[in-house]
Amino acid sequence: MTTQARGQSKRSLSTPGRGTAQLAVWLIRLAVVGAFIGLWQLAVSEKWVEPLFVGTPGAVLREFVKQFSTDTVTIHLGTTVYETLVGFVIAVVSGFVAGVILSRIALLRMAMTPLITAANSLPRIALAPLFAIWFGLGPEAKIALVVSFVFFVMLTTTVAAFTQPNADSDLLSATLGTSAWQHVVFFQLPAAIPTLFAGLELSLIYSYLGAVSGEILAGQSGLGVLLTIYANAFEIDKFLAVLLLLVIVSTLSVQLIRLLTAPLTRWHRMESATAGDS
Amino acid sequence: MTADLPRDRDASMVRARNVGLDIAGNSMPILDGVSLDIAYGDFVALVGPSGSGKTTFLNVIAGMQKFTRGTVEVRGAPPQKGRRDMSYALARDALLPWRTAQANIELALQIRGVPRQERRVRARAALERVGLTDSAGQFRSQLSQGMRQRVALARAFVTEPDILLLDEPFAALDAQTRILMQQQLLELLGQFSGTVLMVTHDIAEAITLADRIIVFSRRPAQVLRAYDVDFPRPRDAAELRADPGFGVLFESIWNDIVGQMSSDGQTQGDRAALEGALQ
Repeated sequence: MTTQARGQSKRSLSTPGRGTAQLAVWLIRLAVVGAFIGLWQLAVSEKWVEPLFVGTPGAVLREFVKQFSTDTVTIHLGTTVYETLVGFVIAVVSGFVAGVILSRIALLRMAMTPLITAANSLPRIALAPLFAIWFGLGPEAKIALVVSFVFFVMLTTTVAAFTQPNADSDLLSATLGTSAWQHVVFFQLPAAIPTLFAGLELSLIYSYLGAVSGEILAGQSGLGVLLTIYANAFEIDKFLAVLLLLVIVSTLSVQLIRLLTAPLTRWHRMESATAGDS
Repeated sequence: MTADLPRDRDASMVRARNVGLDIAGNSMPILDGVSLDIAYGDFVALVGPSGSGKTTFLNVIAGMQKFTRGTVEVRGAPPQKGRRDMSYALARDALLPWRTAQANIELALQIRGVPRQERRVRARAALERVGLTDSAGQFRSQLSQGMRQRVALARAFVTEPDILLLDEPFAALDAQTRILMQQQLLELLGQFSGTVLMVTHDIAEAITLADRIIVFSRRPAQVLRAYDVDFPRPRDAAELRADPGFGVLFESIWNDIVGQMSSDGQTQGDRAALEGALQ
């Protein structure tokens, strides 16, 4: 039995040809990006579309390099990142705390759920003019918008994370005679981690959305402001260069979160990979 | 905490007298006058028809289920959840997926406040006893069903309990793995001097493992009959099945349980269902 069992135990993460699959995945990714750029270039060269409206890959890249060598972009980028991160931290902490309170007190949760749903289903961007009146055209108004976006994301994921049913481990916890505190530390918190981290990632994405859309609507500084200026001036290449910068920055920060949280959620990815396998 | 409690062969571990469990608004109780004595070192198996309240009774002893009539004493005291001298192995392994096999075993010690270094040593030893030394660092998703159940057993043994409660511990396993696990448990019992109370729906499993088999009646549960299982130890799970005495005992217990079904005028269909369940 032991030999057979040991054989089985290695089944999950070392399927043969994993390196080959990895290579194929990267080739597909590069091919999709390459095809997109190629088609774009072709459409412009063949005059299917007017370059004035869509720019050209080469010009966008040139603008990207050029803008990055001046202070203009970095100042605007700094504003956007500042608003995003401050809003993210405020919303994540407050949303988490509120979520923990609601998940612990069922009565409060029942009372608040419809109100939260109502607040959450409001298109929060509609609050931007209000925040501009309250906080002016500076970063504070954008931070408020980010918080209004992200607070509910974190609140709802936190409630979901701490109220998911775990009949087996609850029973185990009871048989082991855990104290209330031990039950939280050894059972509830670890089980909640994957959901909480997924919420964190989503929160960061929504933070960028809140900051940039706030800047587009009304602002003095930030990548959103820059986008508006370039769009109004019909500077499509510059506009797309800023967009490219935004994609790079937001993707890198989301990847950073994933990298930092990966060791704590390894078990969860392995469970998912072998789901339905037992 | 339990160091001064008696551990000689005659010391009473569980004493149940006329235990009843009535459900409000339901005229049929779940338990109706269960009386039982279990001494230190006994291995007692509870068998009976499906839904006869075997697991409910086990949970009463574990302190996880209230009862409405009679008295229950565990080492002279009322049942209490999470006793330090008691381990409970569940029907499903209930391994925590975020913990490695070793960390799952350590959990039982961690909750009792055992220091880290000692936890590690004892969990390692427990893993070795169930033959899973090489799987110490693996997560639940990397373990087969049989291996998971062995880790769960190791978690139950690692606290060195004086009383071990097993609720259909091998029910989730296929027939072959189940017999291998029974053998594993027999070997673990060689180094275990405490009491075991096991609920099972598998008569062969009860005969293979236990010193005494208690047959529960259909609901409302009472003790229908008790059998002593006299096969000498150490036992071999596979060889024992070939013993003529095994078949005789099996037949007798089987008839007790089936009699509980048919005396109530139940149909052949129920009988067939029971036979299916007992295979």
